[in-house]
Amino acid sequence: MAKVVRFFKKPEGAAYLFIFPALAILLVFTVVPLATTFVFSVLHMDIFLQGAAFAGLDKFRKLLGDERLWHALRNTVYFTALQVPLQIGLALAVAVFVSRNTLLRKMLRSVYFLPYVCSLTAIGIVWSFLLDPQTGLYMHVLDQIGLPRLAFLRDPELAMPTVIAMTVWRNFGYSMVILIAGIQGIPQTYYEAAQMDGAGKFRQFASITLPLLVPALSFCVITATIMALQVFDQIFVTTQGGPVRATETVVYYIYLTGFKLAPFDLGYASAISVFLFLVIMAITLTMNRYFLNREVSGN
Amino acid sequence: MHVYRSLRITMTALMAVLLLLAAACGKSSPDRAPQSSSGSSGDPAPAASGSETAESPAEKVTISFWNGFTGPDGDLLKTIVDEYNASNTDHVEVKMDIMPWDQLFQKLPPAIATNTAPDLVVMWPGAARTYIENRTFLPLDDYFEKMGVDRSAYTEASLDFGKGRTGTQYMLPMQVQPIYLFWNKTLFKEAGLDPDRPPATLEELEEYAVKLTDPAKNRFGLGLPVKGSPAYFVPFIKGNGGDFVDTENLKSVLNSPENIATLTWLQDLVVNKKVSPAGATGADMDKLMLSGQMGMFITGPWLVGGLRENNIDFGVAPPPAGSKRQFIEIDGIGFSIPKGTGEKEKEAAYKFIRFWSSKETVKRWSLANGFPPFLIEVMEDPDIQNDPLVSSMSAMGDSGEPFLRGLITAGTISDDALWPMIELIQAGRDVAETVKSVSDHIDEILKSEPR
Repeated sequence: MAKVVRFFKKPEGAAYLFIFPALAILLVFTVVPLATTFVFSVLHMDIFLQGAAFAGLDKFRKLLGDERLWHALRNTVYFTALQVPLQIGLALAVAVFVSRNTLLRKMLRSVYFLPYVCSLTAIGIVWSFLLDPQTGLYMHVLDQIGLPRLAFLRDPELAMPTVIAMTVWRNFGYSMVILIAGIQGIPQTYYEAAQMDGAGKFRQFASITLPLLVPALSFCVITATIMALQVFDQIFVTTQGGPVRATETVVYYIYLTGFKLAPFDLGYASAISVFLFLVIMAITLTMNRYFLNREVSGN
Repeated sequence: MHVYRSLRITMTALMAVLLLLAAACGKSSPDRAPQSSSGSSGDPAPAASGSETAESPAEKVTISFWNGFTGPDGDLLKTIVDEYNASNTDHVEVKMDIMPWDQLFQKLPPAIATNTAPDLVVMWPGAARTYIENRTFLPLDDYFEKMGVDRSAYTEASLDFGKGRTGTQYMLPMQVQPIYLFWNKTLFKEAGLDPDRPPATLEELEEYAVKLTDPAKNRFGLGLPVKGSPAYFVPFIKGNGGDFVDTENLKSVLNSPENIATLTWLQDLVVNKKVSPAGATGADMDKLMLSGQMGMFITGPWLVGGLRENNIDFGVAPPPAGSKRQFIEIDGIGFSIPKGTGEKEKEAAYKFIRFWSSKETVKRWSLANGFPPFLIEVMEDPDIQNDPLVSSMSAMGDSGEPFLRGLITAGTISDDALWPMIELIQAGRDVAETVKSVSDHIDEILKSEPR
């Protein structure tokens, strides 16, 4: 006992005590569910946890022929391919503009960051109200200026772009803050040297800011991509995957399979989750390698 | 070396703490839900039913009750349950948990799996099928005998909707709700229609809907939602001689010339005649009805309270007849008892159901909400007969039929095939092609139906 106490009195021992709460949370809410999902994916099992039986790779074979899953994957890729570049592009443009410390620019930073503080659920509900084709405020404005009413979230063609716009609006502030930190970390002397060599503003941005921002950019792009591939909340509250499945994404389909549609096939929902896990892992690793190469070649 | 041994000890200790934590997150007591307590500790209010029960030594049983009555009807439900708890004649305390239906349906399956389900729950038959099939709802056939209740006091339709395909009673009626045509009399007058004469046929429905529609005023003639609503299209399909599923042979009969004609008509109403906002949900339509922007809407009786509150002058009638017949769909909400409920709690739940099915409560609930009563005697009650709304609904309540009777996949067929079909049709897709693919999908779903 005395030995244990002595161990925890030493700084490197005490450290374990400090990380314990975080570790416990990680274990209970991330590691255990993740491991459970892997186990469930090879079982025949419903949400009532009754009559579990070993299914081998049956669920994964089913997954390959599941039209609806591929449709959901296409929607997810569509969402990611538009949302991530838009979010990062907008964040970068705004970050360059507001990175200098003046009162106005500091205030603008807070304003742009504000939507990120709200939950996507609340934002989704508010946007649904604003965009309602009959009773929405935006429709009223469109009416007033003589433009036709658009159905936005109820139009199969417009629903996904609307959800993307909503997500970009909400998330770009977060990427912006990281990029601002990156920009402010670039030594001013580089710019001074460039100026003396006669480089213009754009040239300075392209040859100094952008290359030195690669670490911050790569972090932003990778985390935004991971988040985008798991898109769920905003779709759950605004369109429920509709209209005509135009916004049904992979995670939404997992939710439907496991929790919404009888027979509540938890095994299959887990198999799709494992599949999505692998897709995200592959994309993340590829991106990571790409950005690392960029950083190395940049240096 | 020392450090490593200490580390091992630490990690073991951490794991032990973690396991304890995990255990604490689960159920604290192996005996579920029934926090039984003696009658005196429950602090029963001195109720009209007699004070002798207030100090009764009989053991009081507490049961948990989940439902989704978040609307104005929930307030009355809460009052009734509070009064029941206070009266204490049954020595039962009902702990009610009202949550949005969506949340209830998310919580219930894991709750049943982890043995933390409520003792009593209400839902509609379409949603209950899965639970009935995998035996996570208990059969309630012994209710009548145990509680000394006469089966024949109920309307046939009200008991029918709670039965499985083999006739076992899994749900006892809490309320019955046929779906009706609601119409806004003020808008009828403005459109030059007789406000006291609702459309009786589908031709008239179309004619009225077109007359009532006025895009300049953002006004719609008829609400035809794509989800989140009672299946208003069933009276159209069945009325024109079509059907969805051959429940005898478990085969889809959706792909028929009658149905294609009916659905083409429906598409024309939305896409070309624009009598309804396209792609809207039942809740969107409710809003339009409540704000006086919609002429007609086929939905359940829960709209009554809101219409009255918003001073909308409205009428209620059976849905219009098709070319072949008039179909009145009857749905309902029934009490069910999830698996894992103990005998004592089951009996307590029965007592509460018996109280709910008493003439007084049924009448009170009907008059307040405009729902038809499910007891024959209450239907004949002068107060019910004198209420023009409830009496006109009662007439329908007795002649209604359930939709997709007894199929355990009814919910999936409805949510995953029929509603998406309506959505596709309103989005302008080819009707014949859509019907064919949806029909195939229904056959696929029916494969999981026990034969």
